[in-house]
Amino acid sequence: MENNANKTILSAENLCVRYTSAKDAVRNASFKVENGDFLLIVGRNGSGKSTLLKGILGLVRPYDGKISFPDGRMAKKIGYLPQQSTIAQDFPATVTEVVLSGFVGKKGIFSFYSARDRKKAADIISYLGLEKISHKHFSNLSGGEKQRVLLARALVSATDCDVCTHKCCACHDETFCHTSGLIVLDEPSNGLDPIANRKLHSTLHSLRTEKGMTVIMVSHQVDSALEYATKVLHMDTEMLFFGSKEDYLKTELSGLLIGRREGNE
Amino acid sequence: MSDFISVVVSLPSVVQRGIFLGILTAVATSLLGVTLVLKRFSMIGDGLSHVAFGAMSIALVLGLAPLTFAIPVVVLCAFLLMHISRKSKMGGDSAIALLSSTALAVGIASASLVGGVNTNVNDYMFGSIVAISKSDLYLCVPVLTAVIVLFVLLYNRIFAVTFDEGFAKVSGVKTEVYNMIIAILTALTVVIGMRIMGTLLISGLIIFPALSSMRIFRSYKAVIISSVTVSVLCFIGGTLLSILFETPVGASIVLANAFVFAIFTIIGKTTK
Repeated sequence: MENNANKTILSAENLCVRYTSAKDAVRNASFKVENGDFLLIVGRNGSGKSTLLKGILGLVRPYDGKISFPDGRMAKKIGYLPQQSTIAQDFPATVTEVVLSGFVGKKGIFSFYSARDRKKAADIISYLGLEKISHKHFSNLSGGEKQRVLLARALVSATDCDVCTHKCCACHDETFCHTSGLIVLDEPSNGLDPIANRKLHSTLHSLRTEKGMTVIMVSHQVDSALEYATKVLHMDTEMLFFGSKEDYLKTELSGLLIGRREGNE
Repeated sequence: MSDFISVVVSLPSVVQRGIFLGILTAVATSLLGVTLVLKRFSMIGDGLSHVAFGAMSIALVLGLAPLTFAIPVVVLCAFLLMHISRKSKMGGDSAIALLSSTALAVGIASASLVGGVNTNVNDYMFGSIVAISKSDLYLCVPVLTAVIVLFVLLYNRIFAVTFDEGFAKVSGVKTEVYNMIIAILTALTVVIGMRIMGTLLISGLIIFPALSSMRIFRSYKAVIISSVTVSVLCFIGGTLLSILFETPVGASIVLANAFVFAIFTIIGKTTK
């Protein structure tokens, strides 16, 4: 395997995003994400976390600064797990149909799924332990199961063995090419019970450590997410902190955020 | 089915034309209906049919070919509706209600200029199986065939955009383009379908098959297949009822759909 550790895959410089009003949603955010990082983005409600994520995903255009993917391929290989509230919970679809839709950006406009696509989807379903529910209907699943199905779809979208065929690496892993995966998650813990939440974080950790994937996650469940994060970005419109988890835990900011949660509980 | 075919063969050619076009319309509306219902755009068919009524009434006043005039007007309004519901603070349902009542008012006012509600206007309101001329057929068959073929070819993309637009966008799919394609296909199908179903009932042909199928089936593919089957069978059943009892064809088809919806709801509840 090629060693891709410390390779910058995403770089933001003085990123500024605003919607229609003159008020900035994100101001002067500068950070770098390296291959294999688990970046946790935290902050109070309305602090610009989700807007920053939208900037990374290309859903909003920054009015100043820039986001770049030094490895050009990465821009096309982001697996996105949106907030569940954006998806109709009664949508008629099987687990397999949802997971296969992760290929949508990789296929031609008029194309259908190939046997290879179906095998890759089945492999990912199997990796996430979803075989038993693969023929179940999405609307009948629990919140935790739905989240794992959406994670499987994100993995389908985020991994591709094209990199291997381009001879940039020799992992020979058609399902998880270690150089290509970036998963972006927007508050995936919303609505999950603590067990499902811990399971999700643990899976993300495995994907990072075993498969070499990179994770960027916005979360309010700071305690459990911090256990697995390697880097933290604390937002309050401006970037208040960006650095390693260890350094973050030494700051007053972290004490305030974690302390407030404990206080509520 | 063979009884239906023998009945159809014995019918005048103008009725045969209507039935043939109706079956094609039923397939197209049922395919689009699933997407529209799931995207919470159930009433767009209703709104666009009112626009088509207004446009056709104006065409009658001006002495223009109704379909040729109505198609671009309705497509334009479909664009407008999509734009308003996405960009404006006014919701999609409010936009449809506004456009719908305005277009109906324009239609009725225009109709009064040519002597009130005559046979032509009545046909547009309530539909008619004998309203399809040969030239209509030459225009409508290629359009409806294109709608069906395009939907089948774009099946996977339409699923992805309908299920989760945000994800599709991040994956590089130009979701606005697909929403516009759906709006255009719906506009074309509504204009053609309302000749048979009528302004007031075409939305029934769009939403009933999808809603009925979703009572029983839980996978997207099964809902699509069931929706097309229900739509075509209800069209055939409704047309037969209309011929047997001399009831308006649009109303008979919607009643057949309502009956199937009730049956599917009961089956869905008992098999849960």
